Amino acid sequence: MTRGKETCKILKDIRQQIALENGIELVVSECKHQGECAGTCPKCEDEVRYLENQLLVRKNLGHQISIVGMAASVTAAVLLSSCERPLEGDVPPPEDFLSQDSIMAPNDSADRLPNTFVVPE
Amino acid sequence: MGVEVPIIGIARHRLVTDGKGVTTLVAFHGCTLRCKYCLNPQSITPDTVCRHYTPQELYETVCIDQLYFLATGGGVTFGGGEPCLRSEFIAQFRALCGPQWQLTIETCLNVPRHHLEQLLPIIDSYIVDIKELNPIIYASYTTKQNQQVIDNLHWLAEQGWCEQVRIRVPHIPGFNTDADVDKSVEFLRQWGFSNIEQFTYITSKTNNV
Repeated sequence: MTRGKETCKILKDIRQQIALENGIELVVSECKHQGECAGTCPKCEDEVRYLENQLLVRKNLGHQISIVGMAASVTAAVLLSSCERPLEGDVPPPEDFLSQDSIMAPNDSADRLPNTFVVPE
Repeated sequence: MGVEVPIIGIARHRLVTDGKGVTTLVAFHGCTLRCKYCLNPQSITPDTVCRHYTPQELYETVCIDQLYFLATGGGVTFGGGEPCLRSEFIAQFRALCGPQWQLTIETCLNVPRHHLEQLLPIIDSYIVDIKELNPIIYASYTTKQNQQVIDNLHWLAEQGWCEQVRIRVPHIPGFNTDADVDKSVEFLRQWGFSNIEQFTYITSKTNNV
């Protein structure tokens, strides 16, 4: 699985936990996208906005909502799995976020990975 | 309105690499060092095309992932470039985002003390790349002196911040040896730091030692 797909799955798990914890119905269909995955997409972003709206509705109705720290275990699992990798020899330098494909140069095509990156204008 | 700063990029949905939870990395333009293997040279070249943000504009931009930040204990990691040079901007950003987001700084610590004094009350954790404690090797690799780094490390330790500081000690091909790295780690432990990790810089073929 590519890193983008892994990120997508983890974010999806977080959204599902938030929905479950707050009694929000969230139907998550399996992603059929075959190409390069940026970790998120318009469909994923729509789910986030839907969740935010539902949480706001519940808050305005006086219901208690639960968000803070409730999905920490999801990313903690990622931390544990990353700790199993050897540190020495295969860890990019801290200033090397380009090698992780995480920052686009301002002149790169914003269409390539439209939703994961905010490109300086 | 607030102070306006040049930012070379913003990366969302980073997992674990820049602190706990889901984080957004904000990379500033400008650095005090000129490292031989710097892999973000666009952070120091004067002709880099940057977008300028006020704290309010940055807050509105990264707020899109607030749900993930809150749910996972994540937040924003400031890197670059050297983020400590933007202490005033970061202080204004903290005032906007409130106390719940985890704010992390990725720094070389080679900055004047007043920046750290401004950041200390508002930053949750630091990731410090010390490069090398041996001043001759440090100067050779970065073109700068490292006394400021050492003084700042001591100062952070005096403030009781050893636990919140993660120190990265790199093996720098062509510059330091395993023995040099061991010596740096030994000093850091003596000064009270225990959250220390070693790694090796990956160099590109275009870098000439």
